[in-house]
Formats: sequence, structure tokens, C-alpha cells
Amino acid sequence: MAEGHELKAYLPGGASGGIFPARMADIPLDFGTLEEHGGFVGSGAVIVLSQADSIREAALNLMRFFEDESCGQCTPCRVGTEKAVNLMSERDWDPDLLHELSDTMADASICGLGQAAPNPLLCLMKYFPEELP
Amino acid sequence: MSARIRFTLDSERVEASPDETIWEVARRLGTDIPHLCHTPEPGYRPDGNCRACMVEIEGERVLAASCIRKPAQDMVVHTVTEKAQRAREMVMELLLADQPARERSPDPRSRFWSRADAMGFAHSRFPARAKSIERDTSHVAMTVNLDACIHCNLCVRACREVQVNDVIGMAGRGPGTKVVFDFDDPMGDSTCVACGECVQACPTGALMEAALLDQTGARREFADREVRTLCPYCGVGCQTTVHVANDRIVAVDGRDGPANEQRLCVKGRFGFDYIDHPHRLTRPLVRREGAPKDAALRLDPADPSTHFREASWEEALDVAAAGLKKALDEHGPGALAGFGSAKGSNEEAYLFQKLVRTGFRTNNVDHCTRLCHASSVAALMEGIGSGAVTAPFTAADTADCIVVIGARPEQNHPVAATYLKNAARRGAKLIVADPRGQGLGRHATYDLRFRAGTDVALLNAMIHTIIEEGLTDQRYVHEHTEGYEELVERVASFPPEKMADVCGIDAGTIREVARLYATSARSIIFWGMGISQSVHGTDNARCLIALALITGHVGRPGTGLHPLRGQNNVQGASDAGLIPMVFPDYQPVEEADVRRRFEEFWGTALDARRGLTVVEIMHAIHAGEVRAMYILGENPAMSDPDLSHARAGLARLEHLVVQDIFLTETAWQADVVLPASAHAEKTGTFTNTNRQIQLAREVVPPPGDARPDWWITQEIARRLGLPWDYAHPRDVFEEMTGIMPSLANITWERLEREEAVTYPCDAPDEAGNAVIFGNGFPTGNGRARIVPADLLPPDELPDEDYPMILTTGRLLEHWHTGAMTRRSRSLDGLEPEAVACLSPQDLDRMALAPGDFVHVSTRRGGIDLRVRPDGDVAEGTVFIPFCYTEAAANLLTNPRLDPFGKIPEFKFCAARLEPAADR
Repeated sequence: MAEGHELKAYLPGGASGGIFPARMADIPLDFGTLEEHGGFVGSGAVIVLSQADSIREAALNLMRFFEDESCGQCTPCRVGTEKAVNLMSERDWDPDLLHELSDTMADASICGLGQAAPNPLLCLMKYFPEELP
Repeated sequence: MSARIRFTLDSERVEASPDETIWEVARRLGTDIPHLCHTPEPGYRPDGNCRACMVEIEGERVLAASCIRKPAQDMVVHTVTEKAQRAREMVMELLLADQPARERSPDPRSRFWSRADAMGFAHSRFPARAKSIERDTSHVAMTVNLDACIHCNLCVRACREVQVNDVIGMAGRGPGTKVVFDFDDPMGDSTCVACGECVQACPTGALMEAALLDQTGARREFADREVRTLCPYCGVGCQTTVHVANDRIVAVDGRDGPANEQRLCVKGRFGFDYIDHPHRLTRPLVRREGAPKDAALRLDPADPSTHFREASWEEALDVAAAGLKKALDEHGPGALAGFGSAKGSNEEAYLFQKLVRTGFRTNNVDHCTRLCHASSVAALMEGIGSGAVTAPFTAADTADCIVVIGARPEQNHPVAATYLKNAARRGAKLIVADPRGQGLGRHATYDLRFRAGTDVALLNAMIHTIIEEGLTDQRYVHEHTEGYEELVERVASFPPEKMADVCGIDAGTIREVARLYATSARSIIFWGMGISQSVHGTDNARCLIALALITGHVGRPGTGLHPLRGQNNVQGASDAGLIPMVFPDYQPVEEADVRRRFEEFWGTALDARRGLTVVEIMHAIHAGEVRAMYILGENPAMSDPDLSHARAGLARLEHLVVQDIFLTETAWQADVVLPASAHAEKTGTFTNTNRQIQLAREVVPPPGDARPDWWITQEIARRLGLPWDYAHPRDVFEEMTGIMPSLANITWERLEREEAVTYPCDAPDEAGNAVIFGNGFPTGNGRARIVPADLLPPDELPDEDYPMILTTGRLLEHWHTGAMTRRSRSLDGLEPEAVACLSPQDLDRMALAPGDFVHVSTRRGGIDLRVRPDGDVAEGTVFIPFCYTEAAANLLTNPRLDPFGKIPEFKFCAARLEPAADR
């Protein structure tokens, strides 16, 4: 970590592999090891975040990225990413609705982009509840 | 082989065929899985994009879209798990969030809202997107409201895959995905041909009939009933569902008929409103005493009172019949003639020719078949003993090679064209041959723009190649034809190398095309008026018949000869005997045995000589022979060649009875005008180009005092002393079945039940024969006759005074003489004004700008109209559609006839073009 920064969270596999807290930094970076925690090795491009970062902001940024990347073919991804960005930008969150939406994106999107797009959001809600509004 | 797939669906062991999807199996077994982007309508590929039909498959990580997923052996599928249902509901809720409020939406009764109702959704928990898409009202017939779009892609499939017009696309990505026309042009400015397939497919009303919406884009018109009937326009014979509110047609959808499978074109879908036009005739009219008749006369169809007064039916019918009777009594049967109509029903056509033959006692009865395919029919009768098509146009589906020559089906048979384009997409090789280019050429392997009037050169060169290169089907020739040797001899002098300069297609290409046609396993030929409307039209058709016969491309699936018939009932009207040389079913009037049979059937003596044809009747009027006429639903004052001559003929008649729905140009010269019913106002059978007899039903009552045509004809017949007593068209149809073998096994009741039956039909419970002549021909000896053709020039070639070639025809948006379509708001809105189409090179050469007025003249007359640049038109040629009364193209055309078919040369005459002052 750069000077003055402590590891707070990391993304093991690019944008869609999930976000995990520092305490889970000992999980081997491999196929099949992250799935039980709600992530996956993905591209293997590890991103680290420090105490200076907002995980919530990071998750929203990632959802905006998926919204931008969505090809627009299927409803869960095209509309789902847009609605998720909308809901995540609000002052108050409806975690139940976000969970429902995430489930459908994961279960019903045509390709991996939409299926994995909720991973950062789900990790945020699971591992960083203190950051939720 | 197609082994059945066994799998488990909701705990039940079920079977599927290999091409069935899970959604289809579920539906077949009675389980309704929600669906938005999928439609089970014919021609639509499942796309699996909306994800409203998700099901759970055991052992799979994610859900599967049942509309697109096919079951595998022993798969276990659940349609009602919590996971699947939650996903389906979430999809609905997501889409609902962005819909306009239902009461302000373009279609609150859309399939989308019905589905939302069924799933119990009225509101969404998600915030709506900020809206930014403006309503597109640039098209006269359709409104685009993308706020209601759910991006299901059905319109894209409708436009690109079903109708193959390639206008609609999906642009952008993610939430910015957007339906666009061409390069995101307004719909009205795009290359959209307004078939409206997208409107019919759209599940939300985002694409909607403009006439159903109010100014804010919300739906205001709702039908109170639906009627299953037919399209009134072309020979394709599309079945329709007509939506009616308060006895007024508000919308038309395509129905699953054998010729259209729910498809329609711009005329069929949007051209229904002519029946409500204020010009409709609603009272019988009698010409005012002393009102002049004159070829130059122009009446205002909105106000017949300048030359006519209203009369009761009783009086009008009495006057109509008395004038006919007077001519008959004073001058004999030869002084009378009748034009029936290919727009009326089979029953009306039959009654009309029966009236002329038994009441007027002459065979002087004809109709517009004379002006469209008379030469094709002459060649077909001579060659294969039958004037109808040997296979339906849907046979293109199984063809390997498709020839379209002298036809523009995208304009004139738009729904048939979709099947040709579907076939080309599938991989069939398409050969388009026409002096004028066309959009269909984009789908063709060969697009031959040969020189106008050189059809025989091109076709004989193809036949030469096939014979010279040994590509004939000798067994077929030996078993089924005669005249082959004469053909060989004749075409010996037509090598492609010699014909190339004549027809303008290089020899190598001619040879390639000939080989492609001959060596393909299944080849089929379609042709239109470019072949037939010529002084050598019969020869042109003979060449096509010879091509098919020497290669054996007749009588098998995917092969055949198909003259694309023009009018919605020109096949049926011809079958019913609206032809001067033949009784119903093409039985020659000059054969004594035939005549005796009809005399017995109708209980009266019949004229033993063939009657006069359309143009011949006009000449006979001028010669003082024909003095009185009864014209039902035809408009020779617009459709005949050399109109000044034709109109002068009509004006010269001592007595003219016109029966129509508008005060047509022909009616201007009438003594009595009888207000008839439009297609949508009566019941009857109609026969399309595919030989499919179909039932049209009364949709709305005729306006005012207007009556069904069959009723009017019967009233005239009674006044001429004929003991007719038909109570309903079904009585007439029943009589027809008694004398027309072609109608064997086809009854009115069967048509009511089955909607369409193809003739000939072998049994009351069997489908008719779509492809015929697999086993010989209805000629004397069972063999088809090959008749060679010689190369003859068009009758009037360009010269110094008239240096250009004038060719005439139709536009997609307008029907025939324009009487109907010029009175349709949408259709006339799309093509409101007469145009002369010229090549951009000619425009440049003459220093003309698009929209400039020009004076086009021939030896017969002149008209003023605007020019339009058209890359499809060859240099040195001008194309003018003949539907515009203000610039009637037929004032210019050459009345010279083909010697066999008696069809005029509408497609070629010499013309001159000069700049003209703006009107």
C-alpha cells in the first residue's frame, strides 16, 4: 500500500469479481475459491482500496460502468443496471429491492456481464453494512 | 430422423419434436408462460431478449429463456419455481417502471398491458427514467412513441426478417438502446415502405397506427368488433382482420391466410378509409336532360349535380335497363357490350357475364384482365392448356432459383415479394430481369437491366444456351412436350454473343443466368406486366413457358410458371367468364358442344361468335357498332390506352350505365350512375393469384342507398326479362359449381369453415392442389406445346420527334386508376401528386431540377407533371404511373394490340419531354 494508506478492501477480479474486506485478503486467488463468498477470480486484475476510499462510491462507480458496458439486449441487464444506479444514487436505500433486483440480474441476464454486474453491490451490502445509508 | 425428445416439464413426462422450444411445448400442453419479445406468429424467430419467459432447468446455474431454449433428452424443466417466477415478475416490474401512464399511453390495451394485468402488476417500485425521446409524427400513417418501447426487438425482426425491408434497426447500447429508422431518420423521411408489420408486431403501442391516436399520442379509437375478411387490393389475396368501431373501419391487421401469414402492405393495412370518403356515391344518379357528353369533359366527383340529378332506385334501374333494351331492340345484340370488374367477387363476375350473354345475347363482355395478363393467359392456354399459375408464389420457399422478370413485386405484389426475399435470405438464387431497376435487385444474384422491348432476345438467348450446352431435361421434353424441334431450329439464330448487343446484357452473363436456371434442382419463374403489356406479350410469355418446359421446371415443388395476377379477383373474374372468347372455366364460346351445354344450363340461346375485347369495343363504338354499355366497377376512361380516343368513345355511346362507388372518369359520360358497394361492404368469394378461393365478409353496411353489386346486376337482368331470383351470393356460387369443374369439391360452407381452398381440389375433405401439372397437361394429348417466338420490335420506336421511351405502371401506394387510393388519406398523403420519373443523367442533360414541371407528349396527347429523379429508370426513358387523373398517363399510351392476347403496349411508346411552366 502507498504510504499512509491501509488496505480496506480489494477487488480480486476486475469489475465483476466482487469486493472483499481486508480481513478476507488471505483467500487464495484461484478458480473456485471466491465463489462461496460471492465473487470470482474474473480477469484477475486486483484492485485495492484504502481507508480513504468509499466502498459505496466504488460500488456505484462499478454499477455505472456496467450500465455503460451493457449491450442493451436483455431486460435484466439493460434496465437492471440503470435502475440499480438510480437506486444506489438515492439517499435512502431499499436493500430488499436491491437484493431482488440483483437476483434477477444474476439469474436471468443473457451473458456474464449482466449476471455478474450485481456482485460489487451484493458484496457491499454483505461485507460493508456500515457504509450503507 | 426426427427422434422425439422426452423430458420432464413440471413433473410430467412429455415429448417434443426436435424443433420445438420449451415455450412451445408448454403452450401446446396448456401452460401459459409469460412472453413479450416472443410471438408465436408465423415468420418470427424467437429472440430470448426480454427474459419474461424464464424457466428453471435442473442442474443449471442460471435460468433459461423458454422461448428460445429447446429441451434435451431427459432434461427436467420447472416453469413455476420461486426463482423463475421472481425473475419473470421482476422483468415485468422493470419494464413497467418506464412505461407512460396507462391512460396516456398509445395503447392501454396492448399485449404488454394485458400481460401486466394477468401478472397482477399496476405499479412498479422502481423509479422511472428521465424521458428524452420526442414522439415522431413524421409519418402520415404511423406514430412512433419510443417512451413506450421495451426494446423487445419484434419490430426489427418484423422489418428485417419477416418483410425484409431492412429499415428498422436497434442503435446505441445499454439503457441508451433505441429503435431507429435507417440512420436514425424520422420515420416519415426514412426508406420505410409503411407495410406496418412493425405496428402489428409491437407489443406496447410504441409503434402505432396514427389514426388510432389523439393529438397527445394517447389511444382514442377502440374497436367494438372484428370481422375476418380479405384485402381489396392486389392479387396476392391477403386475409385480414378488420377492426370496426360504430360501423366504421378503424384499423386492419393481417390474418394467417395461406398467401400472407399475417403480413400486409401499406395499401392493405392503411388504405381502408377510401370507403368513407365524401365522394362516395350514395344515391342513384340520372344524367340531366341536355347535359353534354364530351371526351374533354371534367366533372367534380364531389358534386355530380352539374350533370346529374338524384333518382330513386326504381327510376334509375328503369332508365338503365330501358336504354339497354332500346339498343338491343333497335340494333341487335352486337350493339351492346359490358365491362365487368376484377375488383368484384366471383359471384358478381359470373352474374355480370351471364347478364351480357343471356340478357344482351352477345359475348361482348370483357374486363381489365385484357389490360394486364391477356397475353400471358393466351400463351399459357396455348402452351399448357390452362391460364392460371402452376404453383403458388409461396413455392419460392422451396425453390433453388427464382426468376422475376418484367415484374416489380415489391411495389405491385408487396406481400408476395416478402416471400421471394425470404427465399433469397435462405440462400435461393434470385434472378431479377427488368429494364427498370428495383429494390428486389439488392437481394438478387443477377440483376439484369436489359433494354426495353428486347425480352425475346434475352430469353431466346437463354434458351439457345440451355440447348447448346446440353442442359435440357430430355426425358421431360420427350415425355411431356411437343414442338421441341421447332424451338431448337428457331433459337439457333439467337446465340447470346449475337443477342448481347440487342438486349444490352453481355453474353457471358446471359450464359451464366441460363445455366443457373437450368441446372438448379428447382427453378420457378414469376412475371408481370413488363412481359405481358407489349405487342409481343404473347411471344414473351411463350419464351418463359419454353424455358420451363425444356428444363422440366414445372409441376414439382419449388418449380413452375407464375404470372403475378394484378387485381384481387382477376383470376376469379376470368375463371367466371368475364372474357369474350370463353364461357366460365375458359370453355370456348365457338365450340358447339360447349355452347350447347351452357345453353341448356342457362336455358337460352347463346351468341355463337366470340365477342370483342376492351380496346376493340372502344373501336366498335367509334365505328357506330356498339351503342350501349353497362360498365361495372371498371374505369376505362383512365385505364385504356390512348384515353382521348377511349373517352371520345364513351362520350359517343347512346346509352351508358356505370355502376361504381365513386363518380369515376368513366361515369362522367354515363346516362345512369348506380351507387355500388365497396369491397368491405359485401360478402363474396375471391380468387387470388395462387388459385386460392377465399371468402370476404361484409364488414360495414354500404353508405346511404348504395347496394351490393350482385343485387344491382340482378335488378337490371330482371328488367331485361331474365327470371333471376338470387337471394344471396351463396346461391350464385352454388349455381357456378354446377357448370364450373374447377370448383369441384368447393362449397360455400367449406369456404366459411376453412376460409381458403385452392382449386383444383380432389375431394371435399382434402386440401386443393397447390402445384399442378406434375403428370401431364390439360391439353388434347396431355403434352405441353412449346411455341417458339421471333424477335419483333416494339410498335413505336423513339425517333427524332419523340426521342424518349415512355413506360407506365403503378406505384406501391396507389391502386390502378387511383379511384380508391387517391381517396385514402394515408396513401394519397404518401404519394399525393403525379410524377414523371427520369434518370438523374437525363435530368442533368435537360437542365431540370427535381420537382420541375415538364410537358410529356406522344403522338396521342400530352400531360404536365413534376419530374422526379429515379436511379432505377434507364437513360432515355421516362416512367409515369397511370393513377393520376390530373395527369393521366394513358392519354399518352399506344393502343396497338398484341395479336393473340389483344393487350395494348402500355410499356413502350415514343415520347417527348419539354420544360413546362409551373401550374
